[in-house]
Amino acid sequence: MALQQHGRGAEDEELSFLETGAGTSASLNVPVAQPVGPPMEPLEMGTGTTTPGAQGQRGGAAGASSIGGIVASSAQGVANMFKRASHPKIAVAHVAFKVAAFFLYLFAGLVADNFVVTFVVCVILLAFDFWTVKNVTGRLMVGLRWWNEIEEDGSSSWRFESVDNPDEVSTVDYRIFWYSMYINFILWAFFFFFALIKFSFDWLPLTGVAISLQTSNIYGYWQCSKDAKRRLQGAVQGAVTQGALSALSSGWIARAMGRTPSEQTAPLQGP
Amino acid sequence: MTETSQHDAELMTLDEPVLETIKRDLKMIGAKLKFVFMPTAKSEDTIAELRKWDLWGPLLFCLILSVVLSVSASEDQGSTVFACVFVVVWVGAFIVTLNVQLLGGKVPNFQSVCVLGYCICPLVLAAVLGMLWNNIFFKLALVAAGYAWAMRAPVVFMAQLVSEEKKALAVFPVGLFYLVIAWMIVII
Repeated sequence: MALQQHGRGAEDEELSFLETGAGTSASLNVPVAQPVGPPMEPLEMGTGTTTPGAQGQRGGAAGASSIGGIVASSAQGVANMFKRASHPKIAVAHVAFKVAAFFLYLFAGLVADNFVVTFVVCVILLAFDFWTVKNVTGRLMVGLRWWNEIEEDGSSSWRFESVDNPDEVSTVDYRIFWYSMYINFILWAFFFFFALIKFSFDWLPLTGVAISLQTSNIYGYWQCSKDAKRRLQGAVQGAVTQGALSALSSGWIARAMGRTPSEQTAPLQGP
Repeated sequence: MTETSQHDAELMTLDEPVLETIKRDLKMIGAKLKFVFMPTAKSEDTIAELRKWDLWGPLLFCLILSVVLSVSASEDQGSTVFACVFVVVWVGAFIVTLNVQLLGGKVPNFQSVCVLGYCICPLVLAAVLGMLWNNIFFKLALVAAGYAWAMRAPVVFMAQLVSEEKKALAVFPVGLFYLVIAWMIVII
């Protein structure tokens, strides 16, 4: 299946992704996880070239249909990106609460609807989003987890947990996870700033809550990933030192026993 | 050694199913509610339970209180009341925590906010029941009962954190905090 998809054209690539569905995302990851460039770009370039080309061939009314076409194809592109994630439902959940809270704040605030209901629903959505990102999507999408523990003497310590093998994390998951958190934070920071300069003190607590929740999640995961990288480096260094030591020791033993060291150490020094 | 074994035990949580996480958190919330309604304990379990702080309880009670008070307020003041109560509860909890910390009590921020937030529960109950009958004496009685009940748990919690002579200094702001909330419930 993977070889066939590479053989087809860019337009067919989209359709093939739609046909295969979420269950085969694991197999789709294999050809896509190439070292050069993110997996998203080839698909987006494909959508960019097909839509104007198709419009040019038909020669129909340019304005509305091309915008509609662009929106539809970008929505498809986004949907395909989510399908390529290794846990599509989790990725959607990660983004869904954020998007819901964002749009609710934006449009309910503009329409000047019932303030209390909007506020309460927004806070609840933000709280669910915080909990979901902290407890579910973090460990399933990027294999990281952070929490705070209080020791016997009353001091608090931050604990981090990470997956042993970072290659298990797919690039799509990684991007969806981190970029959606960053973008969400920036948007809510804008909202906070605008509420501040408009002196609309009604909405300030909500945006303040949103920013504090986003910040704590971003900070927690950032620290966790730093800790994970540090642990990996420590493990790698430990393995290298161990390999060197064992090479040296076996060479020494071999020499002591009268054999040439090269026969003993060569396979150990291999990759 | 204990840290690594604890760490290993927690390592299981990376792969646990989502339902397990939800159940674990719900059990935590339930344990804290038990402490609020029956603060008998100096037992080790309760203190260990309290250490696992979470802010769901405070958020829930704060929201319920704000909604109840904004509903019983007059029409044009509804949203202001809501925002005020929300801010007062959260900022008040943090300031009381700051006070205890400045007095030398070694309590982490969030644990104290957690306990204070959970102990608003009796006052919230009083506010909800007070909506049934709009009689000032009924409300006063309810709120007084709620206040007395709400004060039991945090007093126990805060008192054990500071030294003997500073106990009153630590407990007084807690009393003031709940008094302000009780007063808001009565007048709105």
